[in-house]
Amino acid sequence: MKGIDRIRKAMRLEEVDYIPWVPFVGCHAASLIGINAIEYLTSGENMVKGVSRAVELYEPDGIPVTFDLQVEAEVLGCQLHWPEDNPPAVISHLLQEGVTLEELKIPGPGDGRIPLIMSAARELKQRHPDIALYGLVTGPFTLALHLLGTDIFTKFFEDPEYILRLMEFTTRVTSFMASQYIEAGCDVIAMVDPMTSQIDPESFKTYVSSFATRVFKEIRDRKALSSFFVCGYAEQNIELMCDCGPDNVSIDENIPLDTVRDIALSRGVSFGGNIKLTVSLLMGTEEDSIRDALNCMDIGGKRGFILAPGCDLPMSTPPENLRAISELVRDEMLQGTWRAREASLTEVEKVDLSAHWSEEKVVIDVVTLDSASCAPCQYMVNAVRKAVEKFGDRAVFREYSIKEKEGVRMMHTLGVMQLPTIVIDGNISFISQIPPVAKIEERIEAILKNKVQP
Amino acid sequence: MIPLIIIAGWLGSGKTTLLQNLLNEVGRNFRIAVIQNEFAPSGVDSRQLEGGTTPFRLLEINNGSVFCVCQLPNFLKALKHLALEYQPDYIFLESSGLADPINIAEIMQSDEIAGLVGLRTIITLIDGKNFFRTVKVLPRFRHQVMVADHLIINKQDITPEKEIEKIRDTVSEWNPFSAITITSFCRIDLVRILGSHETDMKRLQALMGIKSGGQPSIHVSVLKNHNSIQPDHCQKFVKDLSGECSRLKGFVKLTDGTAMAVQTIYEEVNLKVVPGYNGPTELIIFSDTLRARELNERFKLYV
Repeated sequence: MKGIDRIRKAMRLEEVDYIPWVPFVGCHAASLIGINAIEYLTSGENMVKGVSRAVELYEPDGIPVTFDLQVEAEVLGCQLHWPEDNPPAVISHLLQEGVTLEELKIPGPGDGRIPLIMSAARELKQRHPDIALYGLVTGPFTLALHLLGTDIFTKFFEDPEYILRLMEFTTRVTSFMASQYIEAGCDVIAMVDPMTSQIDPESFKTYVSSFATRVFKEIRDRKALSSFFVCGYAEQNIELMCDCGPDNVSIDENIPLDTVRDIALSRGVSFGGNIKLTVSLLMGTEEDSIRDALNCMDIGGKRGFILAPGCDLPMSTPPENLRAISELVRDEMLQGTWRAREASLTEVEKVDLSAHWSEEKVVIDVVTLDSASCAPCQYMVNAVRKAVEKFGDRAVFREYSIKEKEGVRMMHTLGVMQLPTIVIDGNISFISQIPPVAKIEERIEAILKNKVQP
Repeated sequence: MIPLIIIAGWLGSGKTTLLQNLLNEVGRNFRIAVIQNEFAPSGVDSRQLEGGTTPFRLLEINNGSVFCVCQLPNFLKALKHLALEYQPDYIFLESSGLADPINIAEIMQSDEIAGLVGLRTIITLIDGKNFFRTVKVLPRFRHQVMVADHLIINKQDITPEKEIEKIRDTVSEWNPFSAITITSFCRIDLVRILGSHETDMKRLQALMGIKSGGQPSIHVSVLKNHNSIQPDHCQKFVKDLSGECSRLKGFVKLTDGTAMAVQTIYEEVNLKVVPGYNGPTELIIFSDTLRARELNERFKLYV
């Protein structure tokens, strides 16, 4: 299945073969091609190079063209500060500096960095047609905050009419950007509106709901998919976000994924997130990243979930942490192994094996992911089944699938670290590779010599 | 280790006035660095601050970097640079209404900064006049109140006494273990607030037998997750940890839908149920041995 189909299916809440994975690569890609964030975010060519490198390394199902929530504000006239290792920042708020709302104009396709980003989008779509290409637009509320600064919150009380007019304007800008990305070939439009996480549901309803709903309807009318991205503590607004009609909501580590899953799925909306950006991906090890991603995958499941970091990946995120996740998402065996390892940390209670062993018989335990669904597990179990045949009831075997709790406990008790593994009379005998039947028979015979004859 | 003091609070609550007082009082004897970020009207604030007579170093992070977790790495870099280059005795971070002190504490566990700068205390300012209006529209402000070590209810002069009482009752329900000061123009005994932590650190140093030439190196770790645990498990967990840390504070989500406010100072454990909290489990732990990963492992045993 192609990545783009996986994303489409997930957004339609259909079951997928593997959980789709969308690393939010923005200026992180600059580090992958050895340039700084400024050189990266001001060159369409570099974006194509950087994203293509990320595609190679991280094998994603979907990826953004770029992640820069300042593009629109810059076009409108806000000043930006450009660090070398981060996306730029808005440092002047036009509406606080004497410019009036009426003077602001909706940008055109040739303004600011819009043409270079769109040409990157077109090129990327051509190079990677099987991957869902995300176009990220700044949400109307966050853009309003760029234009007005934090005065916006005091204006909630003092001049609500003004805020509604401002939102009307910023919504038109957001819609314009969405249409540009769709024309350039993007499959998914993610409206990123992190500032909505700050406000209460009443304010969200008043100042965000109808505007966001309009943007998502327009995206749908243009036959593209949509996602509502938010970061920060937005838990109080998740229902309202879903009610705005996006195909997907995406959240960061500050909100519990299971809560979002329950709310989103009950409203027929898919959901995504929320690998920890700092603690796991940036500051953590490959193991931290894998464990975090696996936890998200176990909560998210294969229906309606997209695995992603909580927000824009920091530039210096170690690529090996993201590589580790990309390997994990397509390898069920690896997932099973980590799941069992994870369980062994918390599941302190081991199985009592005192009655498990026999003085007369050889006891063989085969620890698998599940022989019904995992081919190597099936071959290993079949090999053992064949090998024990000639020993009648003097050799017995049982499969322990770690899909069941008992299997996990057994894996932990026997000290098994990889799957599948054959344990003969308590000794780890064959790991991962399927031995020839004769080898297993040999081993059984050797042990039987020291057993009591019945 | 250079202590970092977070000054949180919504816009207009008096953070800049507090910083001015602080520069006047503490700045005479210590090298002070101040970090401000964009969402405070920094242009105005910094001019105001720079108009004073006490020398200090101002670092503006003009990208709202202390708000979104994706921007935090940049903050970390700026902080490291400031610490190494200016070598201040104290760093004060004026964190705007939109910042999250726990996210800041969390990222300060990074190897890049550990041992160089350490979170010391969180002071949250409350604008007496606009408190209830603000928390209604901006629910996250409640969180800034909850995580504070010191709460300052400011603008007493223009806030009716009954209102002040109401605020005090509300905030002490949200954060039962914080010290509360009621004042106007941010007149507070800053030396005492900073001093009490110095004493704490010295006590810890003595207790743990660490012989350090300068400031004792106490690591701050953050435990943050969305799991709930049973009330009795919470007690056991906290008690278990209390022997290994000088201080621990925060909230633990309970299975019955409430939360437990937790504060320990050495073996002294204080617990109080807080209704109506729906945020995650968040604990800040001051210890020289415990680290975040281990804390998470231990916590899992109680889930």
